Amino acid sequence: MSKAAELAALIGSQTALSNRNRIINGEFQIWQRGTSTTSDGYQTADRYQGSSQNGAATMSQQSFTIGQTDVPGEPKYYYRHNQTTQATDYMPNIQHRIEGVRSLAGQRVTLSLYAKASKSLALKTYIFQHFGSGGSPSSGVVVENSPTIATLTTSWQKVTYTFDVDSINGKTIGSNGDDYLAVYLQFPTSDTYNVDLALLQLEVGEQATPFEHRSFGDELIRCQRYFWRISGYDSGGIQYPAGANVAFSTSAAALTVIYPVPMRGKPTFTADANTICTGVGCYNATGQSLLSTTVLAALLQINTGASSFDPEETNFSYFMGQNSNSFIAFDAEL
Amino acid sequence: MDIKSAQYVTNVNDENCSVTATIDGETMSVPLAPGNRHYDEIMKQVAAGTLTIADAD
Repeated sequence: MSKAAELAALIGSQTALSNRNRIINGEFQIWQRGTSTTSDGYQTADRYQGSSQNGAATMSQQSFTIGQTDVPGEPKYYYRHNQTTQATDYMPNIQHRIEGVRSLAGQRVTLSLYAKASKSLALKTYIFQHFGSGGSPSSGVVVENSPTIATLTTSWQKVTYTFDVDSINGKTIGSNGDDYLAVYLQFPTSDTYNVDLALLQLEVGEQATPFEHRSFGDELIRCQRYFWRISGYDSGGIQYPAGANVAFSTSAAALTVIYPVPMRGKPTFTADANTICTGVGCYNATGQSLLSTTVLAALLQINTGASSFDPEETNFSYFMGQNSNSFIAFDAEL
Repeated sequence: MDIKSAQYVTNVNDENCSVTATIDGETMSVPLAPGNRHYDEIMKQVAAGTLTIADAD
């Protein structure tokens, strides 16, 4: 597409030149949880859930060869769904939930991505409006019910699909703040294959504009609204600072953790058993649990199982990895 | 979600403040917050009678 044609497409789409892409991590830059899994759910690329349905699959990060030109813009990674055992109930898929069912409601939008597969196969999409929970929310609405949007081949191709998102006029949104617009890409049942995906974009308008590249830092911040994780071990160095710990017994103390960005909602806290929470001395934590949490910070209780804390003292605290498996994580995904 | 060993945690005022549970093989501390997907699933399974949350120690 020429530059003039690109500009004409942007003008014709009646959309903004920046912040066009409603998909977070469409370039598959952010992989806080890991780079390969055989489990369904939020496991690999941030903001995406993979599902093998009743078959089995490996979902993983793949690297582009430097300098390749099949997919423009020199992206670093793409996402691979390797269905290793056939699904016989529902279509294996990858799902992305866009916060807020108001998102794109009543508008004509265009989905675009680059894709290829290990064999010729149909790529479908399923779009769903979820009105959340709490109070008496409206029932969900199926916007697109699995139309085929492309027949993939072993070569990268750009896939585009334009559709209308239903108006939410007259609908009721739940009071718990967990409503969303879900975008699924669906893969065949009763077969095994690889499907590779890159540069996923959903934007207002009838034209697929060039992929909107965002910096790693910008994309990481967007992802951290829903999930953030500190992991690893740095030769005894500090992994993540916490506030002052206040001991309320010799074996238990409370400490505050400030999140890097405000989160979507009150998050779930997880820490690997190999993560140490320390004060002035090093205290091996035997239990860590939420005492209180907001969208900005959490108050955690740290149990040491030993007389480690002096209730007379207030110490600066931090989390420190004990080995490469160590992590702390906060999860407010939809 | 596969949820096991759910138990309330209390604060210094002896009030329930979170649920510790093993979810899909990981120990998680879940806030008592509707709209949190882990809490919602815990309460869904409790309502269905397939999960019980133990009192705090």
